[in-house]
Amino acid sequence: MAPLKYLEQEYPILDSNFRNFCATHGIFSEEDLLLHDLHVLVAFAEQQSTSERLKQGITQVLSIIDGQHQPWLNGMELLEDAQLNKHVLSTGCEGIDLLLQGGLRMGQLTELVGASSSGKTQVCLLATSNVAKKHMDGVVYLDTGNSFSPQRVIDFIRQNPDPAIDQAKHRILQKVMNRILCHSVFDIFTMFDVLHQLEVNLRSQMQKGDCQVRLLIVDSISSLVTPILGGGGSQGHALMTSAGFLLKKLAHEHNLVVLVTNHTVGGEGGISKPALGESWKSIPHVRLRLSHDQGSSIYNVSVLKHPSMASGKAARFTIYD
Amino acid sequence: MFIDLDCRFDILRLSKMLKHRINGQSNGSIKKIDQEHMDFDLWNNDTKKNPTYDEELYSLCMRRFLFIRCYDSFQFLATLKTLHYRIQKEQELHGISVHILMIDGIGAFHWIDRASTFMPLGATNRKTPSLQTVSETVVQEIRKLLLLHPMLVIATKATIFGDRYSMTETKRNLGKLDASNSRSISSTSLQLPYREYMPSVWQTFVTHRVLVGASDDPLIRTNDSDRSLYFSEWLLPPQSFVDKFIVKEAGVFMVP
Repeated sequence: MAPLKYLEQEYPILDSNFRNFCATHGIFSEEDLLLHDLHVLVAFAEQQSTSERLKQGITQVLSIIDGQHQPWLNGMELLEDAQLNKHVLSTGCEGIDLLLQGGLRMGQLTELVGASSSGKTQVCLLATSNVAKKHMDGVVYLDTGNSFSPQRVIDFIRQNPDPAIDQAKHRILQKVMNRILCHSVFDIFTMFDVLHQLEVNLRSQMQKGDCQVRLLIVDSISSLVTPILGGGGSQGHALMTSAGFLLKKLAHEHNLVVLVTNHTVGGEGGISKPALGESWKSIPHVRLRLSHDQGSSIYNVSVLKHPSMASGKAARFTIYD
Repeated sequence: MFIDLDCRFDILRLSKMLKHRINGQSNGSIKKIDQEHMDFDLWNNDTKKNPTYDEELYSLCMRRFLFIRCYDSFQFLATLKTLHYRIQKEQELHGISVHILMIDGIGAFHWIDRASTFMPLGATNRKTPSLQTVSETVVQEIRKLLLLHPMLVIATKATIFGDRYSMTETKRNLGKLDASNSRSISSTSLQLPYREYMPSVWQTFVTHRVLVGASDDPLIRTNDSDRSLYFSEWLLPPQSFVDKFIVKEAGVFMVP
């Protein structure tokens, strides 16, 4: 949001006379304009000798403000966008796909909640391999705990061998793996950097070779946020909600599936509950709870929250070693 | 008009509910017309389903739903400041006027605004963007808007501080509330503890307030599946009873 003087080049009506008038009312930049009552400003402008030009300036400023928000859409346009661009991506895990009526939806932020070794990272790696192999799309994986395992991804890719590609196996494998970009991030500020860079890349439509990024994973977001929550200040919560907004914006504007993982903490009565507290609860679109039967390869997944499904629906699935 | 601050709106859900509503009304005669959605002449003797009519009605209704999402307070303020002109444009182009303004998640930017600290700005009469100034400007802009376009403003707000329930706040400017006198007084009011975190300028602006949340009662069984029971309690003006409702595919249904 620029100070007003930088706008003069493009909008000559916002000349120094206009800016001086604004300055007497404490308006120096676009942000100040947003916080000020423009009708009152017009009333003051009437009293000036150059009232006509000033009012034209105010009108110009209003149309600049009109360009600062997202465009208004009607229901049909929204629906078309949803039907054309916001498809469902299969995770490669039948149980989850069935539960979610197809898989993870593009444009939505999905959260996987579970205790440690409940299978969250496994599901992330499975989804990664599925998107890179079957959908032939790019994956950006933000790994906060060194849990990303290329070998595991390769195992998943190899699990459903396609006879046609057996001959050129190595080359194909390389191609698939090249679609996966893994960043190690250990604090929330690095995550913001990586996400902003991703946003720039997506906006300028830089594509890696032949693929477009479709899946963004943050494993785990709670390990980035938990250290900054707590204490008396609100900085931690502000960063957490900002991160949520950035992830949702990336999901919606660039039609990505965004998947984040969260761990659990003890709650009242000894029942574990998702970490990150109440403010985080309303941020993801979909919240799923994962758990793992001890010693077996059977996992349970249940819906904690979903925009069009009742919570409590559950399914089981198996991940083979 | 719908301002999505939580950025979680699901158009497919709205689409389904609208289709259910249209299908439900085209079977049999139409007794009550929802003024917001229909401007056609009444047809009340054709009991057969007319698919073309339904489709046209559906797309007309969908086009009347205007949506915008905001990713931060500045975008929200920019939207409010230019809302009057947008409404005027709709009136000129399509001849429709706005009846409801919905704001989903008035507390969405609460933490971000609260934590925003700006460098000292030099001039003493300059407003620094903060939770207080942003809320004041929001209230001011909505007040001005209501002077020009009397309409119903409904805002949702999630409780943040360790409480399990969420709230819906309503501002009434035009039209009467359908008095729920017909509801029987079932149980004592719950008076659940919730903490108000919006600045007082917003709190005093609100004229009606409803608290909704998941009920502690066990899941009730309907025809097809178990459904969670939700409650809604009027806080402002305070009522002594609590309504219960369930959420189905077709929408929200009160439970007696």
